[in-house]
Amino acid sequence: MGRDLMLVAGSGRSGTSLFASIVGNLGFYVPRPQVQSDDTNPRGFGEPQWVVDKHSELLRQANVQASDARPSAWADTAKLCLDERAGNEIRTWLEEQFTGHDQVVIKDPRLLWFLPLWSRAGEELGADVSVVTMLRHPAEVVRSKSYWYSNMPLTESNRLAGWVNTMLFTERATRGHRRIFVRFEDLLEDWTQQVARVSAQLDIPSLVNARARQQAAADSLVDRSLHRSKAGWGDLDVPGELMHLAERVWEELLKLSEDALYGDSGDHLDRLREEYISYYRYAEQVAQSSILAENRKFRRSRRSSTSARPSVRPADPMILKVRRFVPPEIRDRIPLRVKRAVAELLR
Amino acid sequence: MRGEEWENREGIEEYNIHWNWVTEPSTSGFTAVLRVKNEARSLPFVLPGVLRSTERVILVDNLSTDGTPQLARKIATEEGLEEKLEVLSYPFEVSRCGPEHLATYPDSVHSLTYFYNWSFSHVRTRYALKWDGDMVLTPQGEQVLQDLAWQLEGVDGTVKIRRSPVYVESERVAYLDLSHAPGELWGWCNTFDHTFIKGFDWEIIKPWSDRLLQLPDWMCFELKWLDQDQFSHWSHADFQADRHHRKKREWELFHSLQRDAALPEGVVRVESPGNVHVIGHLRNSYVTLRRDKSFAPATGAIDLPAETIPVDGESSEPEPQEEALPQFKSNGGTNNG
Repeated sequence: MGRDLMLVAGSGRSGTSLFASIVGNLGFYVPRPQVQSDDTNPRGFGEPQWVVDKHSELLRQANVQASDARPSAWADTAKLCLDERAGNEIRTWLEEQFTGHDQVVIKDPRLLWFLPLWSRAGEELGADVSVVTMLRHPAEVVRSKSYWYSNMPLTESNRLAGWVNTMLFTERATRGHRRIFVRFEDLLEDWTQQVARVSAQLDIPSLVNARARQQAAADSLVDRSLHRSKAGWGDLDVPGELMHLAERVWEELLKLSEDALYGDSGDHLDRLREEYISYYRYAEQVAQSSILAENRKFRRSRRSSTSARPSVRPADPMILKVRRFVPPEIRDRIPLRVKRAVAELLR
Repeated sequence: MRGEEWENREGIEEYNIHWNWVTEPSTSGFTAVLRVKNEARSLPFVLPGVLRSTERVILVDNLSTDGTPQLARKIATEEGLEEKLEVLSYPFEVSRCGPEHLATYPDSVHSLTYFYNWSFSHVRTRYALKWDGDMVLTPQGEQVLQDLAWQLEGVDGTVKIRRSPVYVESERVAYLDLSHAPGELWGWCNTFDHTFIKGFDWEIIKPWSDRLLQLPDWMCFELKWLDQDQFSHWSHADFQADRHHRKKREWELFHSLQRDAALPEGVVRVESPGNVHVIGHLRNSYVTLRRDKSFAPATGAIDLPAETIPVDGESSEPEPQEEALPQFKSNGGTNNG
């Protein structure tokens, strides 16, 4: 059997954990250690801790939030998708996971920002890469997030915009690749039908050839009560235009989950992406006064916090001279604090 | 879409420049623009990859005598991608780089600047991609270009590409120069902010106020045929170390390899196995070769001045300070807001 790398993408609170855990019981390896379950997901996340930590680090580096609503955020993570060091780290880690396991499943709600990076790593390791995108109605996703992540200062409108942005671009990122869309509700209703569909469409027969004990273990994960956050648009405080856009995105994605060969969807989704980019740009322009005011506040607080520190000194010729002797690939690996200490010594 | 018309000093209306700038958000991706003259030999290795990885390809033929435009159409048909290819003819002698270019007015049809602006004015997609008739994409590079089309939709981005020369000796043997190649601007938004202006030696694209993305060095490589003149687009060969360091190194390597001298420093000999063409072999092994840091180049016979081999990141500018970025509180695995 060849290697299979399954990437489970989709917005958080859309059943990504459930799907990863199901296939994790049907022969796919979920790398360990995994993130501990908690009240927000009592049956487990199906997320490797290393992946969560790595993605969080990369997102911080890119200044992108996990459900970022900015269309420009994709250009920020694109840089990291092409970063040699990040690529090497992911490839090395993934190679370790494939030692003793031919089938590996990776799931993390942040994964969608780095799909090109994972696809390339998988292909370079000789794996067949496939992407499963979980779908859940945006109103339910927003409601669920607002309930479970109430500590985060995000409005329902921003959460909804984040859903539109991440889902539109995840669809685009996976176009032309081995992929399938699975609706959370369908998975809860009868997981066997959905997994059989995934098995056939992605050409992974082992999924349906799992032993009875494995199937029983997968079944024990599925609980209708997981679908606890039923919501409609009436429950949300979001602008009508965004709601209408999200609804149309949802309808197009649903068509893809029902018919993988639905041909018009690409064009329709392209138009919706254009519409969203335009909508977001105008929203930013409308809110420009707030952004400028926050920037002023930030700069003021930064000035006052740095006033106690010594001022930045111009680059010392001696430092520049020494710097030229250190090859850039070595220089990149030296932590900033070490560089500062050496600079102090040279001054 | 926004248009503008530029005239040429010769008054040849047929070759006036009609811009097709895209000013609204658009998902229309990249158009690669290849300005070519007698590239029939390289095209079979170059064109299929570019056709596969961009939305559209415009090939502007400048007085080829080797059947380049006909071959381009044939390749596109064989690939089943003929709808993506547009072949245009630019029937004017164009000044060569260097003094000849300097002596030519930028609004003349004989100017490189005018030639480039005319060629790129046919782009109708959101992004334009400059591509040379001798640049070969790796399979991984093809995927990167396909991804950039959607990754850059939300910004006015510019793309820098680094490419290393590959000197082809025969169907089985080539020499790859692994010394550092500086990035050059190859991709940009198709807007009025990006047009070509005249520089001293060649044309220059205006890269104002954009986000810059530097692509990895394993995207593509550039073919140099050792049995063919590779410097005919220059009006002199007196390359200066400071202004033309890349060209100077190419010139010296080219002539050293032609003389069959000892392998110059930073150059690796590549031989393809079996009946595989060395360019096809390199295409598939290029990423591994570039990543192989353990590779030790042979000691060189060429005595190159230090500045001809730029060092990555060599700069007198201080390194940017690392800043603490805003962080979001996380309760654990799935707290993605």
